[in-house]
Amino acid sequence: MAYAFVQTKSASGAGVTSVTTPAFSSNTTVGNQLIASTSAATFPGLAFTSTVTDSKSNTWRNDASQSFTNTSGVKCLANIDQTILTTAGSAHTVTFTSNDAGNTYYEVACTEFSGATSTIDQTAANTVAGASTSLTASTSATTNANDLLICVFGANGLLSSNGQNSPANVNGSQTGVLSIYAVADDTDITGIESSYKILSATGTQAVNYTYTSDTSGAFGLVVVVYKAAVAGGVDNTTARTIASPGLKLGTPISRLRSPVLDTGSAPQQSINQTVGVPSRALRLGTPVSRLRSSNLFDDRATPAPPVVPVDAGAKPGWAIALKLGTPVALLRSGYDQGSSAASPNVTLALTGQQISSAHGAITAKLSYALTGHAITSSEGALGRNLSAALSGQKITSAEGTLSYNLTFGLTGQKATFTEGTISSSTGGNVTLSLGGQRITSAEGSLAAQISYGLTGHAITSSEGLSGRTLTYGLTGHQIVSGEGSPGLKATYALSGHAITSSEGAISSSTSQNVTVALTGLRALFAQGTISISGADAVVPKETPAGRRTRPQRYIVRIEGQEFIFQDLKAALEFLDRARLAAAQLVKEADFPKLEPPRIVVNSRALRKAASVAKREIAATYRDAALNAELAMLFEMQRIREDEESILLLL
Amino acid sequence: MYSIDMSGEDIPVIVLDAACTSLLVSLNRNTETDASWPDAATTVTLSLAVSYDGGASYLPGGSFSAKGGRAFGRNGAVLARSAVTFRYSEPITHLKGTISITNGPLVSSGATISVN
Repeated sequence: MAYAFVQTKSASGAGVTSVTTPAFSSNTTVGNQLIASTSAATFPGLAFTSTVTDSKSNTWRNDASQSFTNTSGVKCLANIDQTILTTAGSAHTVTFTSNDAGNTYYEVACTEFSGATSTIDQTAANTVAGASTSLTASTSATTNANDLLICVFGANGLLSSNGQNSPANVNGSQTGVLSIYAVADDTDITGIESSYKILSATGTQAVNYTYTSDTSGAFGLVVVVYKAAVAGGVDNTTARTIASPGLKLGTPISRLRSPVLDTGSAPQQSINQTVGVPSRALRLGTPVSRLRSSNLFDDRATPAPPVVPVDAGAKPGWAIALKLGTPVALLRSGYDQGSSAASPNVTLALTGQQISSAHGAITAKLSYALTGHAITSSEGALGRNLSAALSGQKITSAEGTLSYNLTFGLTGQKATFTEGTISSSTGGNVTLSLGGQRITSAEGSLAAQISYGLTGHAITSSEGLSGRTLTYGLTGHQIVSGEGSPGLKATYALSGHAITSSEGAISSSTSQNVTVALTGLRALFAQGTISISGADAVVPKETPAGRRTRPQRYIVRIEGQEFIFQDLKAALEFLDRARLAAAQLVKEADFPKLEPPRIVVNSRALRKAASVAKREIAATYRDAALNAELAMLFEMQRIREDEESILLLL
Repeated sequence: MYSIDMSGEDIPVIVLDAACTSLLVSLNRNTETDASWPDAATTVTLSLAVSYDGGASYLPGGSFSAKGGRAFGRNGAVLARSAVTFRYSEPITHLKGTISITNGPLVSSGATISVN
């Protein structure tokens, strides 16, 4: 790859300590080479040096430096510095800095080349002081034909037009020599001419400048010849064949090189597999791509390549040498080939890691012997169907480990639970959803008695969920119902039982009437009274309109006998006693064939009570008569049976 | 020739009358008799940014730094100015810049920019 000029920038300075070139017009490129040409002077100066840096912080190296001093004590430098760019781009500038405590005169240029290396082929430098007309610096013979020659001529002389404005002569000619930067030393105290030439042949390089100077002048010249880059990055001139090191098992592939990889942009020599034995030997430097097996080359039909034994040569019979032509991919180890033993199990200890497998890469059956371990799977990683044959084993799951829904298909099987409880560790409800299904229990499977200890709790059942008939054997217990808990209609069949209510227990929480509908029945009360309170219970007094008010008298006539009362209550109590008296009469009569009495009252307030008294007395008499007739029939039956029994005895 | 306003740290934008490819920046220094910039520790750094496209964008246009004290020419005379020449491959139309001074104060009778 040949050198090529890219771009350059220059600057001058007088009485400064540093000077920075303007930015390159185009972006610089990584891998290219920047070469700095410096001509500097200072007066008065001591140990004078100049360094180069750039705005991309690349690493610079000084490759040539020539100091010189004129008769007036002016210190001068001619330098060549360079860097191979590792950082490049826009706004790239180069700075030249003097170490001088005073101020320096600078003439500087910086040039970018492509196809470069930092490898120096040759250098040269020279200086002259006093009246002179020519300065030459010659290199030793270069070893590379297409090198880059660069030179810097620094001048300090009073005469103008002293030669710096012309490019250098290289080997007596300016042909192909191009000027980078030239400033004559006229009013200031330093001048410069920097040129370059891309060489085309090897050999010594004599660089010469001609000029005119007075006796106080001083001049310095530096020359550097850089090697051009080699295509493919291999420096063919430094490739070396190591004397018969031999290729052996264990040689790192990265060390393989070809001793015949030659100059130029492409390998100029191929390895001829048919040439003599010495040239076919593998040596350090043989390219891996050139390795071939002679066996394979000569016998391509061989199904399996030969094995190169590790101790090849030790046993004559195994002397299958590795030769040029052996594909690298076919290299095998004799140990692996000779080993027939099955590989042992491979144990992978994955601490904090995971095995990632493309779909289907893991075989279908996996056997896990999990003693004291668990299988942890992220959601979805396990296949959809897992068949677990659990004979004599159990699945233990920590709470929450099983994912959302688990469906167990128990076809023809049953779930058996040992004694214990189903509980919720969180204290929440355990909900069994039986959608459209029912729980079927064979007889005896459910325990005969289910005891509910419901202290302070209620049984809540939505309509229809409980069975049709629930029988509660409440011996010695009672049903206590909070208001409104029973359903709409509760029917109690009380055969031979009574509803016992403690005092005041029947009430209406809504302040509405409590209605008891006794159709065809009657309410019998033992001793006591029904008290009526409230405004609705007040019986209105009968007061004739338009007459003087006289005290109301209540008259009750029974079988023509008249009984007079001063108030309604006394009259009502009299009618009630009449009913009781009739009942007592029935009990005392031998054959209570009685007619109901005629009862007449004078008040509308008494008519209903009188009517009730007559009906009840009539009913009492009728029932007594029926009972007497039944008793007589039963007695006659008994007598007849006694007579038949006597006749049978006779 | 353009005078540089050194009253602030920034050199205001200078629109060049004609496009140029070279700038000579000159900063006046001490003379033989005055001592306005005597301390070598006093350093001035002048950096230019130049525009090739009518002021739309700027690139570094070169810079220099100079120390105080007396600088001498080849004949031993005190150098009356620090001057730097920057060369450009294409004509520039605008320039601006910055001036920074460390370990001041610095007293200069002026700075100019000459174009070619």
